Amino acid sequence: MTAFAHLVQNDMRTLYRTGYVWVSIVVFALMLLIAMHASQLDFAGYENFVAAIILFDVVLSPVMLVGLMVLLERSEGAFAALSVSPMPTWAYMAARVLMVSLFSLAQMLLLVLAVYDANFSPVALTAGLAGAACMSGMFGFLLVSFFDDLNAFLLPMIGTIMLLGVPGYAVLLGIPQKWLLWHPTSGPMALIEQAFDLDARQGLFTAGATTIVWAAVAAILAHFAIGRMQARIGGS
Amino acid sequence: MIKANGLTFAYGGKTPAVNSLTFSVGEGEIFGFLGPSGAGKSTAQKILFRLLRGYRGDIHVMGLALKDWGPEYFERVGVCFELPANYRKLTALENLRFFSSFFSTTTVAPEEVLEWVGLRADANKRVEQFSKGMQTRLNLARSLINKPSLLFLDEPTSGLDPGNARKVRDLILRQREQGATVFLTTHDMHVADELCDRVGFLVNGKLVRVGAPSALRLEHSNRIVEVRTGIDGVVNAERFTLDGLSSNERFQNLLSEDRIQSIHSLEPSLEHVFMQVTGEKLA
Repeated sequence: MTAFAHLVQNDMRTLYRTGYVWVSIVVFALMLLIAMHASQLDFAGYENFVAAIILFDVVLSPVMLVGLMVLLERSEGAFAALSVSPMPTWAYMAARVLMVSLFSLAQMLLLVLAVYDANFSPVALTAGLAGAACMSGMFGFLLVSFFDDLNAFLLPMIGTIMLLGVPGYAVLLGIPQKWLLWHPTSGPMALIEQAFDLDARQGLFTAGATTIVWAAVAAILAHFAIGRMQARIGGS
Repeated sequence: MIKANGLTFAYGGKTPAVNSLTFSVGEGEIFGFLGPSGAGKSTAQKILFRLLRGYRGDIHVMGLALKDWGPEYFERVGVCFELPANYRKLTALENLRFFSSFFSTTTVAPEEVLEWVGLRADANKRVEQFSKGMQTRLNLARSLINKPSLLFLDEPTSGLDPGNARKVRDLILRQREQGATVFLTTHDMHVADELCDRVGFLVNGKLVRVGAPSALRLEHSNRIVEVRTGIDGVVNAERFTLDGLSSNERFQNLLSEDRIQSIHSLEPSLEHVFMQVTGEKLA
């Protein structure tokens, strides 16, 4: 098995054995409950509400799980051991982002299938969700590189999740999306919105391109953050 | 194997943690940095296994400048930390399989390495159930999995009971027999004395002295022997200087009387030499 496959397997084991996977499922269950309750209210703009709640949840799990797993690795000393091994940094980052993104993506697709009975574009939805989840996972690496313990990490983690979810609240508050074009998750948000609005195909390319550019920026920042954490093990 | 010239490093631009270290370690040698806590031993090691950058001076390892090595450096190097450095939620076997997956070179079977460190029976136990000593041995197992040519050990017998400390010391000696170079740090003089071909005394970031433990002890010896004789159950001890011992009448008499119980050369311990050379105690 390749190093990448072992890294994915290791993350799966860690998520399961630490109970993080259950925490995530409980949060998801709450979201599902809210969304199912809201679907019965039949209010105007329900699609936007679903899109916003999806964006919020899809950024929550990756930031939280990446942060917690890295903090755990660092406190156990395993991160130091990884740093003096030939492990490729990109594989470490990619495996974790893939793991938490797939987990998050599966939850959100399940949520949509459970509460949304109208037609939607699975391709646009998956692209938007995957973009937001990957980006959030990579921002999780960046965020956690500034903290050494869980207590210090928790509040900034909530703040980061809120910030990454801003385009979602903007949709709920009726703020035009063009004002948030600079935002990292504006691209994924636009893709998610378009998934529910099958007639609107304007701006699909821009949303996709923005998502790719921000994902690349997040990947560079995450890579830098991992290097920074490795340097901090040494004490510099 | 390692050549360091003028190695200097300061954390945050403060007083240098290591200052102008110049030393070399030969291939197949066990070299130890000895010193009290805070002397700079671990800092020097962290530089050598590339966890610390921003140092000054030249370091060449395995024929190449340290800064020119890429990730392939760790294909040939093994690092054993003093503190536990394993995934606690994984078993010992899972940990070793995971770490061995990163190597492109042939690795030792995890079960075999666990056997070496006496953890074969605990292979399927999660690390969170391990004692500190077991975790230290698992650290060592991980550092050996790629059959490294250069092995860095930070306080390798710290926290081990005498039996397991013996096992670890034998394992380190076996690595040298198989051609590996070992660079270790310790403040345990017995470990250094038994294992190291040469030691370097490190105090306040400076390398005060380098030499073979036996040579250092001889150098600081008072050249005295203590002869213990037993007469009617009472043990007497007399001391003689080594100079002119063959012509010392009293010593010759004791030899001829056949009452000698023991003769000790009274060489100082390595710890004593360290204190004499550096004026510091090992904490």
